[in-house]
Amino acid sequence: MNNKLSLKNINVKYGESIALKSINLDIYKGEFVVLLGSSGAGKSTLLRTINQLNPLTSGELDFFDLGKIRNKKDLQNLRKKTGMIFQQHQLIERNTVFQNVLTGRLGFHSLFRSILPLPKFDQELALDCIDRVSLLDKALVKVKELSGGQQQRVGIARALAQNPSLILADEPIASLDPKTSHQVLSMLKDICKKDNISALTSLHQVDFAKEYGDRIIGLSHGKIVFNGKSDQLSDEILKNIYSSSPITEEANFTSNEVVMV
Amino acid sequence: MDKFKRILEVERRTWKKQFFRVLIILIFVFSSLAVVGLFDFERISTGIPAVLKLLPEMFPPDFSRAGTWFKPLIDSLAMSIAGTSISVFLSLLLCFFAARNTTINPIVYNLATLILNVTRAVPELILGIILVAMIGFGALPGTLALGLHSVGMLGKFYAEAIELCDKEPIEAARASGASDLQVIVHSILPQIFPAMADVTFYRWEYNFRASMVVGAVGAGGIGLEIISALRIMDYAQVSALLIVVLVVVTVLDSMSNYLRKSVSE
Repeated sequence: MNNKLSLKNINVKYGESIALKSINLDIYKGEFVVLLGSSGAGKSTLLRTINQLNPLTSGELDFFDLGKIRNKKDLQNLRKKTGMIFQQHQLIERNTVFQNVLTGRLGFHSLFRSILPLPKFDQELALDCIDRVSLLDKALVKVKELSGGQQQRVGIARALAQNPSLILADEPIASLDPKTSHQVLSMLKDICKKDNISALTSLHQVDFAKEYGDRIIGLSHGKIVFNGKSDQLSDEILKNIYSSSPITEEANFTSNEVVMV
Repeated sequence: MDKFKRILEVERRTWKKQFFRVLIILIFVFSSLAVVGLFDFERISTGIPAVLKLLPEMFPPDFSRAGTWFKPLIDSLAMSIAGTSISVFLSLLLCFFAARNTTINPIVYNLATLILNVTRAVPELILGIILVAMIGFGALPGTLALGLHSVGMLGKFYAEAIELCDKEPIEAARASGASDLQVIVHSILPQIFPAMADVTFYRWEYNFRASMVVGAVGAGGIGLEIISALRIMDYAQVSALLIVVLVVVTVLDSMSNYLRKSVSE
């Protein structure tokens, strides 16, 4: 029984420019990890490398029970077990909440089967997810008629409908106000804790990261420069994370040094 | 679960409605196919021998008169370019009146859309015949026929692009004190330019092909050559002409693709 996701020596290059450099990272079952870093540090790339929306140049992924990701089939299984939440929520605005959340079930059915209404199991699961983000009364409302916070909750419900082992959230609160941000993040964290889902969430706000992250990863210029609990996150380290010039010193953190929560 | 029941019920009804809509469309599609005789297998099967008889007559293509096709080909190209520019000019004048968000009043709006509908409704072939009768044979009536008929489509697409414009930049231009005309030139045109270029180049391509149709009724160009060869049943020459047209159309297609790409970047 493998209880963690391991990234081993991951490198990502776009042409000549290096987006991620020798990333080593473990994320344990049920852990809520927050990713910090300035724009362009590689936060999105790291998230999208895990489900390989961005191809990785070299390195190895070891995904919970699936083990090493070797081929297309493994990748498809990894994606089925990985829910993704986007900054711009990436929903079909003219479809209803229910229809959008049901797309989280697509990976579990063939094309032909998915043209017909999905089985009752999937429909009830989708509604259950909608209920958990407190939007059941909006289930038949078109997404474009919802507020930003509600739309992001639909995004969470869609990710949840996959019954995921892992949720990747790419700046899920970047376009929300502080109050709604708290709502969305605490909802996300509660659900992850209850279902023992691991989460990797990139954020812009340090205070949010400190409040919600079981662990914080600091990313700068494609490298991990901090990996630890929030109370270890000193001003010095923050300066390092958000430094604009490429760091010359090799930062050495391995997941073994991290105390599990 | 009880609290889900109502939602599942509504969803099921929506799906059924959707299903019947698709079914009705399919009924229309298949009855149309039946009306035109596509399911008349007997007739289709008797047509096959005729095709088999005609095809060998088209081979090998006869290029012996190719030297005399140069001028008509240039005529056809000129017709398509001139016709398209006439329609672009007229469409630009009309489209702002035919778009709900830029028109000046409902009467003008309806008048403009009426003009667009009429020009679209009269096929270029009919326009060609009328214009040939009015001003005689040659490339001029063909060009006018293409230009007038194209206004219907170009003007409508331009107007639709205007209606789909983002309102925010328009509001911003207005807020900075721009006049209505300045808003059109500096806020709407930049937004619709890629879409306009897209349909315009597509229409140019279409007009080259249409120039052969109007050519057939005496409006000049390579179409006249094709119809003349057909009349004397010189199928070898017809196939040679069709090959020439195919080459030109392919060149035009890649050219307009290239232009479209470079404009929308």
